[in-house]
This record gives sequence, structure tokens and C-alpha cells, in this order.
Amino acid sequence: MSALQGIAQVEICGVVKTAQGRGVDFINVIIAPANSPKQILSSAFTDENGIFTIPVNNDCDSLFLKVSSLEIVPMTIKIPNRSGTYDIVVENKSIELKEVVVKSKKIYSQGDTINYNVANFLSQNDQALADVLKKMPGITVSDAGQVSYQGKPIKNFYIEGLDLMKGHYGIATNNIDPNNISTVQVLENHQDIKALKGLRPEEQASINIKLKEGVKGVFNLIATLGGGYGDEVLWDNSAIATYFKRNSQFLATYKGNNTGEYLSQELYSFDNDYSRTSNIADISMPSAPGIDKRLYFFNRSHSATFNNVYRVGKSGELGINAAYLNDRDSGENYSSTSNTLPDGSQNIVDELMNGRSRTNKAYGDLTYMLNGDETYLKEQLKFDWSVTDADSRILAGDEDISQTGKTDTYRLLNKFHLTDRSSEYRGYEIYSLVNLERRPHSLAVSPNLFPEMINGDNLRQDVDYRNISIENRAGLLSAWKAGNVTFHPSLFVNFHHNSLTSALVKSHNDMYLNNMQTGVATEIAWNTRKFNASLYIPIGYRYFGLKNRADENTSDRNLLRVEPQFDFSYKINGNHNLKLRSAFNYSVPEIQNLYSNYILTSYRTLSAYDVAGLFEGRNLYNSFSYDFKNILSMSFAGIDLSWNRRKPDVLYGSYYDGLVSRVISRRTNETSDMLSARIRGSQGFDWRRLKIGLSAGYSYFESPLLVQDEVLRYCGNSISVEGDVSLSPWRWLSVSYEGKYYQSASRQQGFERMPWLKTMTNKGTLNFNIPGGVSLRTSVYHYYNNFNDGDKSFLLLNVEVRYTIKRFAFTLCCDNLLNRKNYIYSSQSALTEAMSIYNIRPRSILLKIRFRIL
Amino acid sequence: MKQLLSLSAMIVALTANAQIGVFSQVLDKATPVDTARYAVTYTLDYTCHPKADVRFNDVRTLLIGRHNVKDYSDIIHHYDSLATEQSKRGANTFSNPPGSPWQYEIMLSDRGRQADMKYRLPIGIGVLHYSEPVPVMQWEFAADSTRTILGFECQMATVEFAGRKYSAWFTTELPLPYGPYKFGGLPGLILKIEDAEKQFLWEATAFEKSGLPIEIYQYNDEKTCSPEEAAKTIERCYKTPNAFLLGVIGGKGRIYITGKDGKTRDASEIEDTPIPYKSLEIK
Repeated sequence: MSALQGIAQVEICGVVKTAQGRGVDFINVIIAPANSPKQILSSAFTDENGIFTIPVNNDCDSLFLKVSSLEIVPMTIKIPNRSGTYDIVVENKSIELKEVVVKSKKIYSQGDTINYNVANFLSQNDQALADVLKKMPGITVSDAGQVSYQGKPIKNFYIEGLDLMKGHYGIATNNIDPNNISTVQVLENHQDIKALKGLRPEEQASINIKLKEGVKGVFNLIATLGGGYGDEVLWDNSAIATYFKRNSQFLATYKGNNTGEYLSQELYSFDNDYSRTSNIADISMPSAPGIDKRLYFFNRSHSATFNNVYRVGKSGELGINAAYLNDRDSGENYSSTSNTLPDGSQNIVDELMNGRSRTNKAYGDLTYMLNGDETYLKEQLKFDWSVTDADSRILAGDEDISQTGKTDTYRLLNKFHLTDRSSEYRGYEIYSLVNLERRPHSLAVSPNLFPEMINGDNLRQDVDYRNISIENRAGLLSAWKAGNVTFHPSLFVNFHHNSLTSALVKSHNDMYLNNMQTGVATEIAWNTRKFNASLYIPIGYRYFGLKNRADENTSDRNLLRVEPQFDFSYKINGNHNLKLRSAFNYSVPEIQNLYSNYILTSYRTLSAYDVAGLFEGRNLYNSFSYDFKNILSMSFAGIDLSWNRRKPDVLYGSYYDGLVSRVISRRTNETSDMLSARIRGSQGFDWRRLKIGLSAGYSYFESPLLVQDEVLRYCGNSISVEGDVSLSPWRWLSVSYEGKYYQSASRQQGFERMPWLKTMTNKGTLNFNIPGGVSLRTSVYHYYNNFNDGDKSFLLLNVEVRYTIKRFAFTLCCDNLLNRKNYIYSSQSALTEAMSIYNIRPRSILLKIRFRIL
Repeated sequence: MKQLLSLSAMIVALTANAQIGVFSQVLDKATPVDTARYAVTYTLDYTCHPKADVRFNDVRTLLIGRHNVKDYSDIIHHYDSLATEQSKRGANTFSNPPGSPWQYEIMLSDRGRQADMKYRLPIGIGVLHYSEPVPVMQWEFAADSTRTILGFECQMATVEFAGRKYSAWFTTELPLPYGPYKFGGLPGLILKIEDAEKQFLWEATAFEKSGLPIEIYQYNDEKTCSPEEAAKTIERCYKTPNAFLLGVIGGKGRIYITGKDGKTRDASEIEDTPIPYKSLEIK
């Protein structure tokens, strides 16, 4: 050992021994200057006989000689700074050292994967994965269960690398116990098709759930039984079975309740397989106020789901997903709707509505996927079925109206996707979709509110809307490459057949619309490590053919259309990312805007389109986004800007006449613009598990509106601010808060701006963990609406006590403790204002027992 | 291990910036030599070459007993333990350690003066085993340098060891003259140490009491060799990885290489690409 300073070298020698005179070996001997005792000048260890020798180079007057080890009581003596020999007698004693453990990092990254350590976000009261996801900076979960990362919805949701849920991942996020999860991984820019890796960048992130080791290969069956009383006997039961292995996964659920839990929401699919038909005639039911559905949902619901996936071979997966839902809903509300007419006057409709609906629906998906390094094959067959029966009674003006309606939906969808990569930049891709859909629906209304146009005291109408869609695309992965520029040609052939039949007394529609698009497209892509740019230019022939079988009229249109799209992204570094998008396209004529004979679209709206031509519209969309993340400081932020311009050929609007209205249409040269800006941030802290999320948005629109045969221009502004906070200040307390403020107003050209509508929603939860397995949870809901008459604020309070012993958890819930009876909700949209009063679920008490069966 | 090698073909991710993964071992031959009094956990942030872009992470455990000190990869040991349990239940294929944990396992004895080294070769080829003395490290204490790590007041010392310069932060509050790898001889436990080229960085994340046995594992396919032979073998594994694997495992149809483009090709049909490598001990 040597010292840094070198003056006159002295040598300190000695022996470290016990009181019995036995030398102690391997003892640390340190020499420090007396004027700076923390500085080490030199050190040594004693030999087998306890002897040490230390050279020292320092000019200070005296030194400290320190001896220490785990076996002796440490000792320090002051000695002069000159050569000498010292006998040091030490006391044998084992020294206890303090233990220190740095907790594992809450978030860490591995390349494009961000890992969230679930244990660091989990609170004792979290019951579902969604509860924990909400506390992770950068991740948000919508009320519908959709998971977003950096403000954009995720693409895929994996469990241990397998896509078990196929878009219905709300079932997983609402039912998987977060205590079984070790890590949530965000896979940024995750190209899930292995054959396209390195060839096509992916903008959307995906999420992978990593389970704890002890959970894999173990069959779990957890049941909940619940009973209670509100204004009727309440029940809330469920059973959740899970089995996760490396090569197969299984998740099955049953849920049933009449406590307001909205089971249908859990079954939503987030994979964008939207329905291609919609109801043209709808029974009017009490509409949804902008508050949590479980507060006003008077239901009797049952749902069962079955989800299974197997690994087939090295790269294959076979998945089966099925679900069934039975739902009964009843509701009551009073509403007053006011439409501003061109002369500035108001058309006001007051309605007192009481309705019931019964829904049965089911879906089933069968998916095979082969995701090899060179070949990707995905074949997916989906069916959807639903039947909804509804009836309602409405008191509007002097009328006492009753109506019944039924909607059946049948749908079969087949999707096929094949990618084959023969070399680094060569290969082909084929995509095909076939959609078969039928939606027969009926509406019966009594009395007839349109006696001047349609004969009869009572009206009964049947409508059938059918769709056959075939979409095919085939392309080369890259036909030509020069440097970082690649050129991908493709062909597309799309055919859509939509037919509509309706019968309302003597008013009949029987028509179909064919739409064929075929052409070639090229994608020119420039990809470097930091930049990705692509220009997609489809040039196509478009044919529309409309045939009205009722009067044998036919019309068609042939067009050549170019719909370019430009995307650019710049990965400045691991923390900063910029994206730009610009797209131009045409909207196509839709059959629900082309019928010329009357259809009763609601009990008080009669529709027929005067301008029944094959018109298009033009849309231009531009967006810019900036994303920032710093994993070490757990900071996520971003800015989103967009501008959307639409130029429709035809305007659709309403002609109000007291209680009733007619749909009208007119050719136009008007344009509409919409601008929106949003800034968002999310910050996690090590301190007390604090997470703060904040976003603020502004939007402005200016648009034409057809009212009473006049085209008006109107504009509007809205501002929204959203925030969420979660915090565990102590082990016995955790706090969460979600809040939203929204302000909007619109103005008709030539008139004063309408008053600002200001709404606020606050949800706060306090969880107290009391020793002995008891926890207390209180939730406060606060809603504010400045348009409401009288009390503009609405407050609800729920309390829940939970006691856990071994594998049983007992929960006693008391909802709506203040026993609020109804909720007033006001809204504003375009030049329409509405005010509604809804019944709220009454005060109730419910005891639930959750236990593990297996 | 035999079960693993009985695989008819293997796919190896091999690019200029990648490490070749290691396989799990069944820990069925263990000899206890000491009992740990303390366990120190370090994160190791390292790269195969100072100029390589890609860095790797490992979690290392240092078990300190009365007579022996053992430094090993917690990731590899975790997967070895799983494989051992699965093997007891009759499994013959096992999960392998993910990522790129550092393949060295170091057992120090005789007050840290003697090192018994084991190095796990890629894809279950075997384990190199060699012993060598640890030279006395000539530490220089830096004046007026203090820093708090894990709540302990640390001081800095520097040393030149095996061709590299290291800066270490140690604490006299923990009078244990040890550290990761072969580092030791300071009047306190080393909580952080890095080389001047920043190729290796160890930092302690936990210091705990322990009662774990310190065991010597006898691995399958252990090859006893000299330190020089071990160094040459490891270097060959990086300089000519393809030829090395083919030489050990066999010819066509036995090993497939996944390249940077995501394609998988037979190892015997492609040109060897050296992986930049600079050993910890240069001389």
C-alpha cells in the first residue's frame, strides 16, 4: 500500500493481539492524519501473527491508527508521525453491520422495451391489472378499458409473448390479479410480424405482461359471491379461471350482477374490425349522461367468456375466443332539447322517457397465426351475433307515445394475411378481408306523429341493411432499393355491396349500392437509423353503382382517384421523437344517405334524401406529434397537433317543426375545418410511489350546418384539462385522484356566442390499510355543470371495507351513501343544447366473498 | 446438459453487437465450502469492447464467508436453480438465462489471494475451469474524495490491475476487504468500481446478512485448463464465433445463425463475423 503524498517516509509497525496475547490475523489497519481523520494515508492487513507494517508519507504532526474487522471492537489510537512499534490490544466481538437494500428500479429500459416493475406500483387494494396500469407513468387506461402509451392506443396486448385476447384485452385487464404479474413491458415500435422486422417500422407500441414464476403452469379458479339490498335484492357473482403456460394459455370468466357493473364494455374489441352496417331506425331510449355508467345503470347482466391460445410448432399459434352476454337495462329520464334556428329562435322539445331493453349477444374468433422469420400467415374467422329488444314510453308535449324496436345483427368476417420474405429486401405480401353482415331491424310507434305524410294511427317499420365487403391487397415488400430508399408496389381490388330495404306503410325502399375500387399503389420509403419517411400513393379506378329496385332507377359513376399519404418520423435520440402525417382522401357515398322514400329514423324524425346522388367529399388531414421520455427520471411528455379540413359535396341537416323533424340535404361548396392541440405529461417518482399525469387540450372548429333549409356557418371552441394523481404516503394509506375540466361554446355566424358550458368531474379514492388484513376504501365522485339549474354540483360517496383471511376476502360495499336520487346533466353540441334529469341507483349495501377454489 | 446438447439444431442470435447466449446447467453436484455471513448485490453494466454500442446488464451476487468469497451471476444461477427443480420433476428441456449475463464465476479463498475461476461457454458447450493466484493490488487512496453509496460514506481509491486502470469507491463502515471479481485488499467493502475505459461498471444495490451456503458446483462438461488456455479459448469464441461453434458442435444442419436482418441461415454456409472483444484482463 502507498500514500499519495510523499514527504519523509516513516514506518509504523506493530502487533494486534487479544488480552490473552494471541495475535489476530486479517485485521484492517488504517493510518489517517490527525487533522483529517477521514482521509486514508495508508492501510494494511495483519498477518497470521497479528503483525503489520505500514509505510507513511505525510508531514502532519500526528496520526490516527485505526484497527477494525468483523471480529473485533474497532479501535483508534493517536500516535506521533514518526517510525515506531505499537502493541494494540483488541476485544474479540462479532460486529453487526447494517443492512441496506436498494429497491429495484421502478422503470428500466432494454432497447425498445420499457419495463415497469409491478411491485413498485401495486397497492394492497388493487384488484385488477387495469388499477396498476393507471399508476404507471406514460400509460393511460380509458373508461372503456383501452390502454394507451404516450397518448396513443396500443396495438397488441400479450401475456408472456402470446396474444391470448386478440383485441378483447379489457377482459384480461379487468380480471387478471395484479399480484400475479412481475413486469409490464411496453414494446415501443414493436413490429409484431417477424418477417417484416427491419423492413417496415411500426409506430404503435404493444404491451407484454410478464407473470411471476409461481403463477405459470398453475390452474387458478377464483370465485366471488355477493348479495345485498338497494331498492331490490342485489347480487354480484363471478368466477375467473386462468392457466398460463409457455405453450398454452387459458382465461375463462363468468360474471353476473344487477349492481350496475357494465359487463358489455369488457367485451369490446380494440382491433378496429368495425361493423359495416348501422341502425337506420332506432328506438329512442334514455341517453347516457356523462358520468360513470354504474351510477345510473339499472341492469341484470350475465357474461361468460372463453379465451384459449396454443403454441403450434416453433412459430405458430392457434387461438379461440368466445363470449356471450345477456343484458337487461331499464332507465328513466326527463330531457329538454333546444335547437337554435337560423332566425335565432329556439325549437324546444321536452321528453319524459321510460325504457327497457334486453340484449343477447355473442362473438367467436378462431385465429391461426404462423409468425416465422421468413413467413407470416394469419387466418382469422370471426362471427358476431346480437339481438336487442327494446320498448319505451315517452311523454312529449301533449303526446303519450309508445314504441317498440328490435335489432338483429349477424356478421361473419374472414381475414387473411400472408407475408413471405425471401431475402433481406425481397418478398411479397397478400392481405384479404371478407365481411358478410346483415342487420334487420324494426320500429313500431304509436301514435303516428306524421299524419300529413304517412297514413295510419300506428306506424310499424321494417328495415334490412346488408353488407358484403371484399378487400384484397397484394404487394412486393421491395421491388427496388437504392441506398436507404425502397420502392414497394402493390395492387388492390376492393368491392363493397350494400343493400337496404325498408317498409313503412306505403313508403318502401329497395336499393343497393355497389362500390368497387381497384388500382395500383406505390410506397416509397426512406429509412435510416434516425429517420423514417414514406410516401404512399394509391392510384385507383372507382366505380359506384346505385340501383333502386322500387322504381328501377339506376345511376353510376366512374372515377379515377389518387389518395396520397405521407408519414415522417425523426428519432432525435432515445428520449425525443417527432412524427408528421399528411393524408388526402375522398369520402364515399353511403347507402344510409341515399334512400328517397321515407324511413322513420326515430319516433319523431322522418328521413328521405332529396339529393340522392353519388356524391363524394374531400378530406385533408395533417398531424404533428412530439414525444419525450426519460426512463431514468420516469418522465413522459408530448404534444399533438392536428388540422382536418373537409369539403363535402352534400350537406345533411334537419328541418325542425315542433316535436318532429325531417332530415334534409343540399348540394354545397362549403368547407369545414377542425384544429386541435394537446399537451400531455406524466411523471413518476420514487418518493411515496407518486405518479402525476396532466394533459391540456384546445380545439377549434368552423363548419357549415343545414337547418330549416338554410346553410349556416357556426364555430366553436373547447378547452379540456385532465389530471390524475396516485400516491402511497404511508404503507397504511394510498390515495388516487382523477379529474377533468371541460369548457366549450359555439357561435352561429351573425349571432352572439352561446354561453360557455363548463363541466368538471372529480373522482377521489382513499384506501386505508388497517393491520389484521382489514382495509377501508372511500370513493368520492363530484360532478359540476354550470348549465344546471339550482345545484350545479353533484356529490356521491361510496365506502368499502375489506377483510382478508387466508384465501378468503370479504368485502362490504355501501354505494351512494348520501342516497342521491337523480342527476341533472346539460350538454351542448353544435347549435343544440340539452338538459336531462336521470335517476341514480339508490343507496345500497352489498357483501361479497372472494375465494380461491383452486 | 446432455439433454440440451441432444437438440438436433440450434439457432444462435449473432450479430456484430451481440453476445452468444448461455444455457442453464443442472446444479446436482454441489460441495459446500463455507457459509456466507454477508451477501452483496451488484449491478454489472458491461460491454464486450469499449467501442461497441451495445451494453449488457447482469445482476451479480457476492457471498462473503469466513474463508471463501464467491462472485456469480444471479441471473444464471436463478435459471440454473429452475433447471435443477425442473430436472427433479423429470423435465429434459429448460429455460435458458435471458439477456447477456456475464459468464464468469469467481471463488476466492486464502484471504482473497487465490482465485478459482469458472467461465460458462456459449450455448452449453461447456465450462472452463482454471485457478490462479490474485496479485496484491497496489491501491492509491484519493485525498478528499467522499461519496455516499447505499447510505455508506465511501472513499475513492485507484489501482492498476491486469492492464487496466480502475477507480473504486469503498466504505470503512463495512470492514470487509472484498469487492466484485478479484478486487479486494481495501480497508472496506468496494461498493462501486469501474475501469477507465468504462467497459465494466459494478455498483452495489444491496448489502444484507446471509446464511447461504457457499458451494462449489461441479458442472457438466467442465474443462480444466490453464488461465492462458482459457483466455485463448474465450478470445477465439469472439474472434471466430462461427468456426468456434462449428468446431465444437458439428457441421451442416447443427447450428443456424440469426443475422441482423432477422434471417436464419446455416452457420456452415456463412462468413464468420468477429464480435469485438476486449478481455477484462489484458495482460
